[in-house]
Amino acid sequence: MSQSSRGTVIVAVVTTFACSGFAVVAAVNSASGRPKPAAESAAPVVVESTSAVPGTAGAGVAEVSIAGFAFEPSALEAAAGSTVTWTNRDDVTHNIFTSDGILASPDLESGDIYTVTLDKPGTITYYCDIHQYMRGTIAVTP
Amino acid sequence: MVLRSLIAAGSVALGLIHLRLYVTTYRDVPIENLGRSFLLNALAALAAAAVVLIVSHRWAVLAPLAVANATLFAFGLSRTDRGIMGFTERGWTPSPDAAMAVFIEIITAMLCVLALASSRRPRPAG
Repeated sequence: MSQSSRGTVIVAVVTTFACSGFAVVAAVNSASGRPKPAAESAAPVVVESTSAVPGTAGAGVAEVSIAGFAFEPSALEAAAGSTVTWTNRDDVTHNIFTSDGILASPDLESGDIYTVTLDKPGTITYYCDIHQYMRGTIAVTP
Repeated sequence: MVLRSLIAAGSVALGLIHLRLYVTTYRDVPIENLGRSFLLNALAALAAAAVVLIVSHRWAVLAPLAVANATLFAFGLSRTDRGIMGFTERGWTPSPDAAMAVFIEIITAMLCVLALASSRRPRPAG
């Protein structure tokens, strides 16, 4: 093997080990190094409802679908005391967070459901902590 | 030829996984070109598989090696806070595709290195 060939092989070996190691370490770190959600919301609550109307929740229950890396509807109006349910219909993991901690879901795998009852009037802006461009709002009316 | 066939098989598998991820999941990501990068990756992996089977030159295995290593690097980058093109993902999600793809990429890259290391220049006749 010529000197230039040997050099190419060495570069190939080093690059392969570096890229492989980086991929595995980054995946392991990202899976274990993120802050965990609050203990009281560690388990997703499954709610079955047939009376929900997407986009409104005058009487008590509203549904938000997580699909295609977006919340649908992204803007929701709900009366205080209403229950809002998020269902992850994507193949990837999502979650629901607010910067003030009002919402702090566990990681929602495909098909998981997260439910929360909103008591205080006001506007809540929430996001997916994993894909932070995914955002939604809930206007909680008195 | 067996080694090259294994490398091509790994590259095809890698391409098909990314093609499936593009069609079923990531083409919806609202970041310009992020979804398309999965499609581009799939096409590059399939082209690299063809190159390693068709081109007999000893450096042909650099094509699948480059695709596998670039994909591993992009995967690692997407698991950092910085992300890739602003896109972040966590751990081994989507499961089982992410872990399967990384496993195949590492094996394929190592087979490419093995092929490079074991190849010899043809001796001149006479």
